[in-house]
Amino acid sequence: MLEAEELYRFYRSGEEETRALRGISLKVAPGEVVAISGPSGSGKSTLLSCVAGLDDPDGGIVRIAGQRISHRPEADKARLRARLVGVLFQSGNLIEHLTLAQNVELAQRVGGRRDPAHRAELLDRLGLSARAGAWPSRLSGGEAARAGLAVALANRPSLLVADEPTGELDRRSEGPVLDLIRDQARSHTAVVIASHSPAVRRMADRVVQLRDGRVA
Amino acid sequence: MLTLIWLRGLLTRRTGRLAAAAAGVAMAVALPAALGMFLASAKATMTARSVQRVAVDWQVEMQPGAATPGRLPGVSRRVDFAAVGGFEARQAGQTLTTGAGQALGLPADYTTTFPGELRLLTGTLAGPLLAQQTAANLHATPGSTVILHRPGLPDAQVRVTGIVELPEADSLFQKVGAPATAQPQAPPDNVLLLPAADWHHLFDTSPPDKVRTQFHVRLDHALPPDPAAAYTKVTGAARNLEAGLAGTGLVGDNLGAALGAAREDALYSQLLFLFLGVPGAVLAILLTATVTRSGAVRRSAEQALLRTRGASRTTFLRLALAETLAVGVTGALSGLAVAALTGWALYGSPGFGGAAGWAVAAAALGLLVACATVLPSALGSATVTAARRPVATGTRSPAWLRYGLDLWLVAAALVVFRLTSGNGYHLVLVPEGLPQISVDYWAFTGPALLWAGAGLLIWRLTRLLLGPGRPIVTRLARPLAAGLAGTVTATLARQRGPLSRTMTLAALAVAFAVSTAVFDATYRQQAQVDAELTNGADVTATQTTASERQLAAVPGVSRVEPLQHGFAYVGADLQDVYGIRPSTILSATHLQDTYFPGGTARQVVDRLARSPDALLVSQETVNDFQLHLGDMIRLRMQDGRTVPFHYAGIVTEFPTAPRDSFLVANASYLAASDTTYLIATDGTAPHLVADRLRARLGPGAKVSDVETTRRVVGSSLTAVDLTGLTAIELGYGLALAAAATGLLLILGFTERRRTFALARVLGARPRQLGAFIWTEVTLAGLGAAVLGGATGWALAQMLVTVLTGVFDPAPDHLAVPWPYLGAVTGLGLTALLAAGTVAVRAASRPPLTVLRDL
Amino acid sequence: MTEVVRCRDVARTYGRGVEAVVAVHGITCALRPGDQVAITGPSGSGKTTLLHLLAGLDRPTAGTIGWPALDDRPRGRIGVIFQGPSLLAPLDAAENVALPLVIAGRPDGEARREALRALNTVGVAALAAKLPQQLSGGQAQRVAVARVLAGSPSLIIADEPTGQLDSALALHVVELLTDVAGRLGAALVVATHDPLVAELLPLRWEMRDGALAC
Repeated sequence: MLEAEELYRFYRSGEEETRALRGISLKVAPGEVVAISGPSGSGKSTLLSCVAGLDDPDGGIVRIAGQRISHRPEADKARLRARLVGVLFQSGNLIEHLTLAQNVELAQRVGGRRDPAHRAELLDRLGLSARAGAWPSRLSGGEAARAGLAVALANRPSLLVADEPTGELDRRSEGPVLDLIRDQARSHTAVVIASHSPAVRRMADRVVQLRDGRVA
Repeated sequence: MLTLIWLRGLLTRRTGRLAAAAAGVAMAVALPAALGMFLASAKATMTARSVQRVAVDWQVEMQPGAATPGRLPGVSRRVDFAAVGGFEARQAGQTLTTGAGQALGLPADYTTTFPGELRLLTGTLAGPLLAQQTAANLHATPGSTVILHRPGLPDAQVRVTGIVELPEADSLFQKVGAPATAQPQAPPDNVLLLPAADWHHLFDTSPPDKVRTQFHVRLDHALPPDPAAAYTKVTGAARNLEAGLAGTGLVGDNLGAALGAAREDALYSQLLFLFLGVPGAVLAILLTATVTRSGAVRRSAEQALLRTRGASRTTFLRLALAETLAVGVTGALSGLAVAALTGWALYGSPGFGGAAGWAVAAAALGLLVACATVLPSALGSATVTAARRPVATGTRSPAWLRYGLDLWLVAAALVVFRLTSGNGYHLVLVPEGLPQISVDYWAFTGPALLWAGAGLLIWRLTRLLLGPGRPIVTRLARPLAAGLAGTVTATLARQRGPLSRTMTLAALAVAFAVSTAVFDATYRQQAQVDAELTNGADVTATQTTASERQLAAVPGVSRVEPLQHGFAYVGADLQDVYGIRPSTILSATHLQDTYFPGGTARQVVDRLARSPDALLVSQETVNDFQLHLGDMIRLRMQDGRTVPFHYAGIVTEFPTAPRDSFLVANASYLAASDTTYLIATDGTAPHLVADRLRARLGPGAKVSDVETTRRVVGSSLTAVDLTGLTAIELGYGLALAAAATGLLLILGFTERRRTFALARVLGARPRQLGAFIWTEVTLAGLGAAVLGGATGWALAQMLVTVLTGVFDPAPDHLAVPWPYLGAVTGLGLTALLAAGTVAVRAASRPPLTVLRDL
Repeated sequence: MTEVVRCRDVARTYGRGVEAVVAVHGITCALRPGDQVAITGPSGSGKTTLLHLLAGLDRPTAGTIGWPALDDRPRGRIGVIFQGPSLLAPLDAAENVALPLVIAGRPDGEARREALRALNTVGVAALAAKLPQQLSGGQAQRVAVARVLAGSPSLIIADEPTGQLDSALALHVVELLTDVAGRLGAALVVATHDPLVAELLPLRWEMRDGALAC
């Protein structure tokens, strides 16, 4: 599960200071899907970076599965990310010079695992078995999104963080991806999705609306 | 396994880029490895030449009364020396006598054992032999009877069977065991060589202080190819022998002395040739770094992704190392292969021979280069946020540019250059008479600083050109890009960083090619001048009674110039004096302006032509006698005449003249007896013409040619054939220039595939895309040619000035190897055209295919 | 009125033999000046392929396609907006907008004036000197719209122009596009999966399995 308490994050560029997060707390239980929505610039991406352990908040604390991930040395954070967190971006989830299957295998090995069975099952569930040997540049938009999900789920994470995962998909491709995310949640994963898609909001157990770095 | 997957992916999908990086490493490896092969071969040549040049390796001088040494290494022969009070001969009722001399007793097979020691001019070697000078003094010929005045014994007479020349008289009559600082002893004027039995018959009863015994030794010549190692081995053996002789004999180590000189030369040439080669290797390294860097954007995205997935520092290190090793090992191996091929092409031996150490060091360098260039970019930033930040393509100038580091470096180079060359301070000192060189490494600083400074300055200039200089570029682009000129220039200006890097590297590659080519050509030109100076002309004949016209009739001779030679006293000093014919001398031999301080060769010769009693003297004489132009000088000639002259100028070098003081005057005024003929050939090889002349003139005349002289004169350094080095350096200069222009441009175009595809979608025709590409190609080519050419010329100028000591005499102009520079231009143009054509073709692909692939 | 584009039984197949993939087939359609069409359909239904064919960026493997109003020379005379970034990275916003005009042979100064006017019209005049990497997604798409406007094409084709934008921003960009098309009297085709976006356009075509289902 995910516990984020009182997160603050400021950016400074020259004279200007942007307050991206102004005291956000968020708890997501295993099996729960939380959608984060809000206009652009409301702090969605910053919040996701902080809870995924990709960025440190200036104030506040983030725990995943009971382990603090914020404010630790980068090496520790990397280890925790590999074991506990799966991240899915809108695009660019795959290493271009590796095939789809190799991308998933690479993610597993980075997490210190060898789980060919899980890998095959993932690809099968996501309808990608036939494309396992394809290069990322040859995948269609929907396939690329599903492949990104396969990589994110490669290590059975406790927390799945997705930033606009269906932004480039139409509704018909969006459906299967969201179903798969939903399925994953049932296997005791906490899911946080930032999206402005109505379908995501409908699928979520809870919607958190952000405005100007605060929960609206 | 993780590493393996990663590497396999890279090798299948990023083949081109990895290959380009490996090619850069290969070049950085191949250049030093090939240079090493050249040096090893040059050193072996130096050792071989030294061994070849020595007629008798050791002269073991026995103490009077000492027993015959037990065992000597190699092949040894006993040689006896006896002092003779004088020689006498009666010819047609006239008695001719000479001063004191030496009579040597030689075993029968001496001439076959030590073939270099004496050369038969006429007669046979079977009996007593007279040295040429003695024979001339006595007017003796084979068959003449010569009387010897034996000290403490009655006169004796022998019948001469042959006349010989003693080319190695200096070492033959050396004082064995003399301290190294002692003045070399002049050999005796008169020498008679006797069969051992005759000598014993004549001199066994001589007083013991008038005779001495030497054992001449020829060592086993299986020496290490490196002169230093050979020197250590030979001198060690000599000391060992002396110790064994326990004071009863001393070793005159001729071979050791020759190898010692070669050892110094080898050290120097190693430094010099490395110094010339280092910029090439550095350029190859920079090229590799640029190639590696060109994928930075995508690489950074991949790294961010890996970090997001929780890859640890160790994982990164492993992946980075795998990529580095793939590039490094491939590069190093191909580099060694290229070097081996070069060696095979130049020296006919495929192995590394004596350069195995070089090969290992070069390969290690290659791996180091790979680590230094690939590793940092493959390791990437420390945190995810840092890695996800877009790669800075900032237009802010680097710190060195703002602080003017380039200008400081160039200024420092000029200061060091003035200090090291301005006040007659020479990097290389050639002590008079000794073919040995001592090196001051400090003066290499000037050119090194200039290299660094010029590189950065070129970078600054290209940045300026693409920044504030944009209107100029727009105007330049107008003919190629027409209406698109403004847009094209805007594109180029935004690509300022990578484009100026490309132009700088290309310009430096051109500078490397130009400076090396000019330096090498000048070096070869001066080696030729040196030989000509020593020999006088293509072929030189002395001691002949033949007339100018007879000589001119010999096939292969195009011009004959008589040069009188005599001696005159300047104070107490006996100096050589040369009589020239001012009207024709310049067409028969090459007189450099540097021989005549205070005027050109033409001016000074004209001065002689105008006033018959004009005299050129050495700088030293001018100083000693406080001479001013027009001063009267009275010379006492060797034959007793006193002749008045007027001082008309200074001469430092003259064909056939010795290195120290000498005089030059008009032949018609001097009226000296000896005439040397300077003979220019019509293009026939000088040694062939020399052979014909020898056959025509008989054994009395001395004939020498410039080719043979070049092999004999000077240090063993100038004897090294630079062909190999030139081929290696110029080859790499070409490769670097082509790679820097072509490869980097193509990489730049690859990065902009998206831009070109989008422009196509907006309706740009292939010809309009060509405007973008050809403008950039032209700009890079022009920049490289102009800036690189200028830098190369400045570097060559500085190198030649700083290394003046290598050139003896100093050159008055740089030799420009036009054919090679033409080849560089041609290949550069080809590379540019190829890069442009490849880019245009790629840009003309259907834009959708391109956009889908990106 | 002369049709801007006309397709007759158009098909596009990728690859050959057993590997062949039929992207679109049996497309017969026509657009007149002023027509504004939204093309919807699941991913992989062939929307993008159809758009590329209409824009003259790709050729059909069967059937005919023509641009009668453009004398069948479509190159450079059709405004195109891509799904991803469609600006040229080394050029600033104004230069990007001026580029189609310069390519068409207009003098630099005139092209620049037109470009600034177009930027002003879509409300991003302040961004004229910014490089694409300094622009947000919405800003970049608005500059792309300005580029289309400056080229005054008679056909505008936009492929998922709002995929990476907030819905509010997406609606704004599409409104801009319809406005621009109306101003120019041009035909407009927008491929989208957002029903709100599709509703802004008077005509709607649906693609299914490579064919138009209307």
